[in-house]
Amino acid sequence: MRKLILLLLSLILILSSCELYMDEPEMGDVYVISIGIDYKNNLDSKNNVYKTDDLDGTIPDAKEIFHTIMKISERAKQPWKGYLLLQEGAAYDPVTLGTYEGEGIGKTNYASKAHLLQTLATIQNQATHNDLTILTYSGHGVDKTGEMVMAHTDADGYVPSIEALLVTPNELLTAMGKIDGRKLIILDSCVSGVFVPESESSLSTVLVNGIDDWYAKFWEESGYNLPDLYVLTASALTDSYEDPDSTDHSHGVFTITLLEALGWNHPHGVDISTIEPGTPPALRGSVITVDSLYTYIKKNQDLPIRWNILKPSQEYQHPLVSGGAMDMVLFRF
Amino acid sequence: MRRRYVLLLLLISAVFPLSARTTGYYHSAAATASGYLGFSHFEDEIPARTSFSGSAALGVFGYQSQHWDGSLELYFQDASRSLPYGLYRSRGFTSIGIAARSSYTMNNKFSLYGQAGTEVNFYHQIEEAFASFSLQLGGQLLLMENPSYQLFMTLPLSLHLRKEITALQVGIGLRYHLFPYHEGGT
Repeated sequence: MRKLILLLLSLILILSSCELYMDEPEMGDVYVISIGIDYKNNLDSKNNVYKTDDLDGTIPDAKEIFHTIMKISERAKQPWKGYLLLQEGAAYDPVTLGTYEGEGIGKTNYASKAHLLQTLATIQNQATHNDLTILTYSGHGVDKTGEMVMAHTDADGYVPSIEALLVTPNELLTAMGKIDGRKLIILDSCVSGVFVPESESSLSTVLVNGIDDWYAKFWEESGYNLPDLYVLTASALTDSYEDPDSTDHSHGVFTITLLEALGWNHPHGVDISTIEPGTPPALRGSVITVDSLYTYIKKNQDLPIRWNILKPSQEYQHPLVSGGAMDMVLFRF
Repeated sequence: MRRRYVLLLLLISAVFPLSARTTGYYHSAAATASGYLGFSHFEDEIPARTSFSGSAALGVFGYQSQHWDGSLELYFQDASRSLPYGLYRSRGFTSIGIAARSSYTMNNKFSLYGQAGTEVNFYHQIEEAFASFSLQLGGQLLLMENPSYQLFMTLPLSLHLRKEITALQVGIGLRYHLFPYHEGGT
């Protein structure tokens, strides 16, 4: 009996040895790019121009996510640098369209595609191995293909073609992939699921349901590497929606739940710089991870995640996240 | 207190009176608790990550002779996410699989067994699935039996063969055989 107990104790010790005896890597700096576009400076009274629908929740989404991540980073004692890229309101004069003040609170950056790429290049030159870069986007996604639609830079307010404004999944993932360290892309836009890269070892059961595909994936020759780029999206291959209950202070259904997950208490008509987020409900033990955010959003968002036969006309949106064997830690407290 | 133990022993003895080896067709049920040590094929922060798993198996069809035994099993496993370490954690998952199992009786009390199976696995927190294969070797100690039932303690050593991780599992479990036709035995 004594031998059996010794054997079991030895096994437990061996099985838990790595986590207990090795020094943990330190968390690095946090870089944040928050993009919000309301498309209200896009005129529509001229023939043969592209007019996007106005969005009300995107600006509060970007501003509050920016502020919340800053506060969470401070609390986790991780140095923070933030870039807020906004297109807000009706202005389309050349000064507005060209504004780029760079990093920091209160700095104005117009949310054009060129400014986004410039920001990513800046972070690429600064970020190191243990750093975390978070990009959030609240705006339109192109129907069926899902590309991000950045703010226009046409000084007369008319957009002759949407092509120059689009950011494709390949463009964004490539640009983010060049940044050292861990990266998280959070997209609140229609059909944003196209940005989630297929894992090398597993398949989404939201998009692929065949058991034969799972076995085919096992035998695929592609190798699996520790992923450093994760994507978390509001929807799979369907539309995403804004909160129907809000009037003066709208949000995306996905983003408002993400804010809640991070402990943001969503004040209306208050200077958000004076607000401190509470304890994040997405906290698991001492960490917030990609999966803990995803799980919270799925359980708590206002819209159902699947079509319901009992409510066939009800809107739904299914968040999506990068697959694979590993979950990534964002903040440790 | 002592009286309670005596009563418990009497009850167990009544349900599982010791007798000679049982043979014939049987159904089975098993439960195992294991440590799950995942060795990644990719460059991870540590050589292996530790999780814990529990599994249950149902043998829909099995046959046992004097020395050999074989059965087809449907099994379920739940593996936790790994212990906290560093900038990543491995995701927990639930598996459902089928396996073929065979054992060889060394003496009246002890058998060696082997099992090979395949399973589909579903991560707990995200909607992603993957396929895998598994091998298991172990010993089983006959604790009690009568012509209709057998109860074993099992000590399995398993390999979970995933595309990106090979996991070693060491555990302890119980296995129960039900012989519906009451063949053999004395």
